[in-house]
Amino acid sequence: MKLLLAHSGDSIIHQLDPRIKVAWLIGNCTAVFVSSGILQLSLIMASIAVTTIASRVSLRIFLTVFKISLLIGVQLVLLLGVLRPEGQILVEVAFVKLYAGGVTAGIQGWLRLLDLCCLLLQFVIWTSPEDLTLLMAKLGIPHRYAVLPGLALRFLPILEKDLKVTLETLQTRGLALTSISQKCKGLLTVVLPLVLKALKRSKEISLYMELKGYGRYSTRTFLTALSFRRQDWVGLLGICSYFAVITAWVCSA
Amino acid sequence: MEQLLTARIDKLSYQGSPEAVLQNVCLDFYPGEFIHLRGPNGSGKSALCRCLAGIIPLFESASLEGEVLFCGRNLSGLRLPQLAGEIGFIGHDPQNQLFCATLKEDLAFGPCSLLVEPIEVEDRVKRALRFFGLSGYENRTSETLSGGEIRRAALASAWTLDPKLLILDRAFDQIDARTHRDICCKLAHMCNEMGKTVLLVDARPKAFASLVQRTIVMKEGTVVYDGKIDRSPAHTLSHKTGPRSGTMLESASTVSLEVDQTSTYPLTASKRREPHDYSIDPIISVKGLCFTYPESGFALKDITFDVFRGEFVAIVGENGAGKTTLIKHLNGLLRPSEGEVIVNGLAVKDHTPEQMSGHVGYLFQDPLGQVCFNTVREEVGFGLKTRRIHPQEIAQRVDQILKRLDLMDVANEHPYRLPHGKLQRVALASCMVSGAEILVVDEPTSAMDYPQNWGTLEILSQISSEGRTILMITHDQGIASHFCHRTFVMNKGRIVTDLAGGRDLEAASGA
Repeated sequence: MKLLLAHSGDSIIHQLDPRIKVAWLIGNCTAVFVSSGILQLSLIMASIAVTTIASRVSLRIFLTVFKISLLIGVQLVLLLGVLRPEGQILVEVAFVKLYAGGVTAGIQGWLRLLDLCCLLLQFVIWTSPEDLTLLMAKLGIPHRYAVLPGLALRFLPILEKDLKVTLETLQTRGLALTSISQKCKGLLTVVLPLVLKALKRSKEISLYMELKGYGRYSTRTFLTALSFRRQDWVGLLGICSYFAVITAWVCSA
Repeated sequence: MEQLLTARIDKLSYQGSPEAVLQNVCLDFYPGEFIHLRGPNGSGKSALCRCLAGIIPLFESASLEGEVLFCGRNLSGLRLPQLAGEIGFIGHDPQNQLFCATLKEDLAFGPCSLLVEPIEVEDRVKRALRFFGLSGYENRTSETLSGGEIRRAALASAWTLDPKLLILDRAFDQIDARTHRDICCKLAHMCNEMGKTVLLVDARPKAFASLVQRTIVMKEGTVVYDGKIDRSPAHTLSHKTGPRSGTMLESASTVSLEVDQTSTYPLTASKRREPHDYSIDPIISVKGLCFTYPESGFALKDITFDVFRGEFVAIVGENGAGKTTLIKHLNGLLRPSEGEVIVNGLAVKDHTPEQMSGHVGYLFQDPLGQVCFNTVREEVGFGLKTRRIHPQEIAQRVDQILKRLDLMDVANEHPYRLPHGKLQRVALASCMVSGAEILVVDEPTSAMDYPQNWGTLEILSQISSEGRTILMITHDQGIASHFCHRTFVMNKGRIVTDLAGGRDLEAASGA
């Protein structure tokens, strides 16, 4: 789960106050829902790519999301292309007609999905679990619950490590896991032990959390505190300008 | 002196099982004591530790008849978080004790939950990291730590809570000998100077034998000895006055056997291996192996060695020296960035781990992570099933290996239900069953008690005599010296010494 460990990056964007990152996330998500054109959605995608590169994170991190969303996108384009009879007929095979309006709507839907997934992923990459906890506490969520999202994020790499160990174990005992079909078969073998391990692990983790005093008091102390620095103000100014341009464009369209 | 903790347990049994896990346990613990709790696997040590830490019955449901009092308060009337900062507990699965993004956050989690001021937390974290030799690891994640380092990190995370009583249930498994001894010395110092009480369950008493003030021996769920063990040769337990808490002792002879056996291996000349024949071609040949982990930057540097057919080779070294990383190259789990690894005539880089599995049997460090099936029989037989061997032959071979490793009584049990020592044997059986010519085993006996440990090593020794080659990672230099033909000592990603017959091992490893 290298993508979830990428928060250890030390770029200026990583170091920004998590509230700036939340503003970027919410602002862009709103823009994604409000935008209707392929160009606008592509621009948001481009801005995600530029800011990701600026934070010294490789775009390869989005590759898996891109592949999965593409799979859904193709189905969406075909489905809407056939079921939404708007605009010109692009292709006609037997009694099945593919309409340009439906295809455009399908592409927009796919871009929306891709934008949202990449935005969420970007937020996770930029924000450490500790920052997320501080943010939740700052937002007034009780401290007992504020630590949980950060811990949940932490659990994912642990699960992936378990999966890796289990797959390695099976490989060392002769299970072939080279081709995709072999991997799919292997996945069936590991699902049950992985679920059992996850349940066992979550029980153990909750034990050690309690042994470390979790839930003894309704509040807790933090090693660091959130505070707006000059770079955060600059960041805020930057995203305000960006959203001003986006809003103007959406309104004029 | 006032008792810190008093345990009067008449009977403890788990739900659904009429059998008592603990019975008639009567113990008092005082401030400043350094106590060793010992006994064979399944004698109830872990259950007792969990009762004393309040985990039973506050977290795990079990039928507990009796009471455990901490500073006069009955634990059953409290909530588990209320014991944080009073009683610290470290179990044998360190990965689950580290659940934050970085080591620093893990160490700070406890004190922050107890509302300790951030400056004080920072100070405690720094001291704990220094105490456990982890300075500079603040921003590391647990995934990038070696097995031994994770254990030290788990210890450090309990340490920052500053508990009055620290219960360590096999917390030192897989920690290298030098660090083990250093930490024990520091714990003893903590008991003497700071009045802390430490209860230690550990299978390697040599490291702290002279430091322990009190030894509690358990057998079949009850305390059979409670007092100080004099290690002079003429001493027997029958000279003792008996347990201070009034527990009935078994016959002195039974107890003394238990205690003496766990103290050390019989260092007889007959157990030393004869020099090996090195005129034959090597079965494993590693030349100029280099490898770097991108996450941590840890590297193996220019490793070259040969291992010959039928050799039993030990790999020793401090935690994080690169032992596990090295052996993962022998079956293709890791690929070298430079150099070549030839195993049984095959270039490993050209083969997948499953292709190598016919040549190399591999036992992982954590046997729990290896479990994939619902019964011991299925678990052990899986390696044969992947080779499409006839089910009847699989059953036959599985039975053979289970008998050899004394696991027939648990053949139909779920591996998760087994004690850790037995689970380790199941994992060993799964890697032995295929009959691979080479066995690569990562700390195969770290969780076993003396008889199991000795028995397993005897079996490995026999296998080696039959012409199969064994590479074994161990932190027990006694094992390396007395069972293996050769020992590689690793340090900072290199093999620094290659010793025959375990000679000068302690000096070479700096232990």
